[in-house]
Amino acid sequence: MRNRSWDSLKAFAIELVRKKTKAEQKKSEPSLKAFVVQIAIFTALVVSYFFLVLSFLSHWLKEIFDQDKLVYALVAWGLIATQGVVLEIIAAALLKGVESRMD
Amino acid sequence: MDFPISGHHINPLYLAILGFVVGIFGGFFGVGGSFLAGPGLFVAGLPMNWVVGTDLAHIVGKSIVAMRGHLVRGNVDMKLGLIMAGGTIIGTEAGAQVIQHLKQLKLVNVVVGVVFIAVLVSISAFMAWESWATITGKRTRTQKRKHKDDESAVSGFSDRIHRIKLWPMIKLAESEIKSISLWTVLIVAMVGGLFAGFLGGGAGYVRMPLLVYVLGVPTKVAVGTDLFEVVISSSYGTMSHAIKGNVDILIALVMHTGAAVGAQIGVVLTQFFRGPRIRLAFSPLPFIGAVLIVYGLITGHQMK
Repeated sequence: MRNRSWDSLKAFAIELVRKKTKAEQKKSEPSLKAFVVQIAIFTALVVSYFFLVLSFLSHWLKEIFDQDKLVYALVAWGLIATQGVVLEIIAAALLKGVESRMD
Repeated sequence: MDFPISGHHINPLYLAILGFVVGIFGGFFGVGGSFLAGPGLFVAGLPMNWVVGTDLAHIVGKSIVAMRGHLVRGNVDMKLGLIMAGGTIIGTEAGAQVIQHLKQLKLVNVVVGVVFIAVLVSISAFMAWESWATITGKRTRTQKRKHKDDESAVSGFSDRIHRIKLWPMIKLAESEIKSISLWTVLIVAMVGGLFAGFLGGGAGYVRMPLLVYVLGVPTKVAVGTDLFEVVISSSYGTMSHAIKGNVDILIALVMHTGAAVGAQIGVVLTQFFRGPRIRLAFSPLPFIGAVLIVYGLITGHQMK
């Protein structure tokens, strides 16, 4: 069971960075309509998220900044890198969902 | 709204819109966008040391996303990127140390501002001249590159660089470079890293032209490989500047939310343009950044 979930996680990570063939690239290019719908949903999610970030994280981060700069540096890098990857995964999943609904 | 870490008051919508615009350019041109993000933060009232550190942090998340987009399209030369990583890190730390020294001397705003203006205006002028000369056929050399849609008016210069036989020589198949000195690659990487650590962002505005004109890397591969270096330099630079107290991660997170949306649009746009036209479209952007810094330095007026 654990092996299976590890394998699927590995396959997901490889698929995320694997160089696509020309045919796959052409297939993965979104139609304009699907792309616009995806961007609209994504924008709404992102805007609501940033208000959450501002209200929940500001005091905690300020405390870490004042107490230990090394921990702050690690947390800062982790937060921004995670935000980048998570938003990308959400965007890809949204596009897939929007396109399958349109088909 | 108050950002408690840096102790500055900036409208979060201004940051998100700035991030969005920078995100489009980042995804499209393959550069981090600090030629606009840095000046944009400066005119919002952040001192230059915070501008440099925070800009580096916001670029981490964005460049990871944009780099993946180019990776799956086969636009990243991994061998070149990994070789350059060492030089990039050394250069980034050197730049961060200079900022720290200037901060102690209370000269950071003036010195970084003036260097920023000089670099941005030079890049803008050179790229406009080169890409226009290539498109209109008025080349200084008539040599054509292997890709008909990716000619350069100064490709003869990179050929001369390839002829420098300084051991060890390496082959970069993905970039279609048969032989180049390892030291040339490392020096280019260090220069890019130095600008990243000193001026903030990923320094794609320096590294991308160096990859194309000095190393002779095809523009699309240069865009993807530059982003790979941006991930390294911005990650290292974020850690280094955060330890030195120059990163407001809240500002970076808010800017990145806008950038994440913009980057999606920028990467898709690259499908519709050819090499010299990408470079010509890029050329006025650094100049806009320079104008913003001049505005901030001369008037001292901050737009909020």
